[in-house]
Amino acid sequence: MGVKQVQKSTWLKSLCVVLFLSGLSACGSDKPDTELTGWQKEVGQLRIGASQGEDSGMTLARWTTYQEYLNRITGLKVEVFQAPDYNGIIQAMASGQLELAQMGNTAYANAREQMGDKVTPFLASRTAEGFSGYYSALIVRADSPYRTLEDLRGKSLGYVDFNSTSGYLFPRWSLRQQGVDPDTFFSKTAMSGGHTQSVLALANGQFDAVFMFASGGTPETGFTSGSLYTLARRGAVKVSDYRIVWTAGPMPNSPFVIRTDRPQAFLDVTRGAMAALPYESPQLMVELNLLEGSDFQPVTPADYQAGVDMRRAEIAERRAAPAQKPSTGSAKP
Amino acid sequence: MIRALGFFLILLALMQPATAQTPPAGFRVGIAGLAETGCAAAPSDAAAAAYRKHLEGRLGKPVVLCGYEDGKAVATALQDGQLDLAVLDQPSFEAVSKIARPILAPRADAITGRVLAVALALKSSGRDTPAKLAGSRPIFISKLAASHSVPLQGLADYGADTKSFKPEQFVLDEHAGLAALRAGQGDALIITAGARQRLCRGDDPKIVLCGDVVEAWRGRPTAQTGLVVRNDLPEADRYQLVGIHVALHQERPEAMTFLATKLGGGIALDPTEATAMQKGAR
Repeated sequence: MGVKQVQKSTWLKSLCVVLFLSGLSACGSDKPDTELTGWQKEVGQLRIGASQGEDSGMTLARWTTYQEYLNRITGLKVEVFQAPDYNGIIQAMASGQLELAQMGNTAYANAREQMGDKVTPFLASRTAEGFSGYYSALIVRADSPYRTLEDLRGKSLGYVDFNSTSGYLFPRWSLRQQGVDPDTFFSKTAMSGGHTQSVLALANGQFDAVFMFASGGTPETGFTSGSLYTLARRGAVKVSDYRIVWTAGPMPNSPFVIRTDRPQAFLDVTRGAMAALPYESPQLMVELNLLEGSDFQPVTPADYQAGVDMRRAEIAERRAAPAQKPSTGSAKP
Repeated sequence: MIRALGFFLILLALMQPATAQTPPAGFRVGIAGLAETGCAAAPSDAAAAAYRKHLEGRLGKPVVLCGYEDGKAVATALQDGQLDLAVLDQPSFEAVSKIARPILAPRADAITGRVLAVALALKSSGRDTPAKLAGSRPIFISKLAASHSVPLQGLADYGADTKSFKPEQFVLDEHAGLAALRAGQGDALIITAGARQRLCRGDDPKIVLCGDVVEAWRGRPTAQTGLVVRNDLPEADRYQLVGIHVALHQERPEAMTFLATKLGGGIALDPTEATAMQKGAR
């Protein structure tokens, strides 16, 4: 698929989502197949919600892989709906117009607060080495004098986004657990707008430190995945030019979330099909942008309860002292 | 005469169940070493009963657990179509490998499954098959089972003489491992497939990072035990069984504990590829 086709397809999908979220059925996705029986007839179709993230073309390609795979196994018409952010996915899921979506911890916490037991996390990825979580890493430039968290008292800090788990919510919660108030500890804070932007802003001297996503390892072994490592592989930065001074985690990997008010057989078949994919079709894992040898492990709401609690605490904090919170919409402190 | 014939037919009909051994209705799970032989809807063992009940509730149809003396008898029953799901060990599976496949195998612990791994060697070495790795000096990046003992077992299952591998050396990471391989400090870099991808993928397809190495082996170790179904089981039913069992340790821990005792251990069940129990045949 060429770029133009991706763009056109994405545009059409976006239009589709607009119609879809408006309650219109112009996408032809909700017409049940009359040949279906049993739980398949009851479900009618499988509608997947995909957040576009930073690379809509890659997102679409990844979900197309799931779409074709799940269609073959479930016999259901499988449609993928893209939305520009998690909020669109959550709203569509809350109104019963999606069965399945993948979302970050914070987005899931939001979904859980809105829908309660009507949604559940049911699978998340795990690396070959058994790692099933990721970290928030506080990084500084290697040529700076900062070597510990305490060294950053009164310095400037870049968060990623209010809805970012590793770039905002989780590190703030963890700092509070250590007795550090993130709103007074740092002199200036701002949102960079993305993990990549955070690293680049640090490189450009806009912040003294930034939070970033890190995975593919532990604080002891070092990390291999995350925006810093991606940028380094592209030649934009050198990993050795940066230093990790503090980490929080691990947080469980982003879950696949499913509506629970569908037939149990549907839930089990879908979970089984996705869990079996890494073993039966390992070549597809690359298309899914997952490391070879990774698989999917079952997860439960309990695995993500900490995220729900963190989100509640963060909202309470924001309501309590709105004037002290980070500025938004700018990466410049 | 007609009355006598009718009496004979009735007698024949009454005898039929005893002579034909009609399998019980519903979903039948065959397991060696149950407390009772034969199929029972109410096993005396509480953990077995918990598993049966859980499976019945999720499948939405009657489930019976059928006890057999050994794995060979379980395999024979599966072959004869008297079972829908069988708990088998690898040697017993061999007898039904043409008509059946594993769908799940036990996971040793939280961070150790049947890891997909590779053995990399320099192209110039000619060591491009598991057998040709004999006498190699292996390089590992961790002593964790996932990066050491599990890949070694996989290599042995594929015919490598791993007992001849010495001395073992451990380096910091896959990058250091490749450097050691290129420097001639070892003959085979044995790492997970994920580590190989991190090592060799790059971001620019024009740059070949691992052009001088060859995968002498790629695979997972053979599953020594597993849950096995017939190949003619409908695909959706097979995945339904996978979906139910992968979460068994969370949803019904006592049922998982019961299965673990019949599978030789394990904290959970992981899905498997169709060839997972075929030793050396992949």
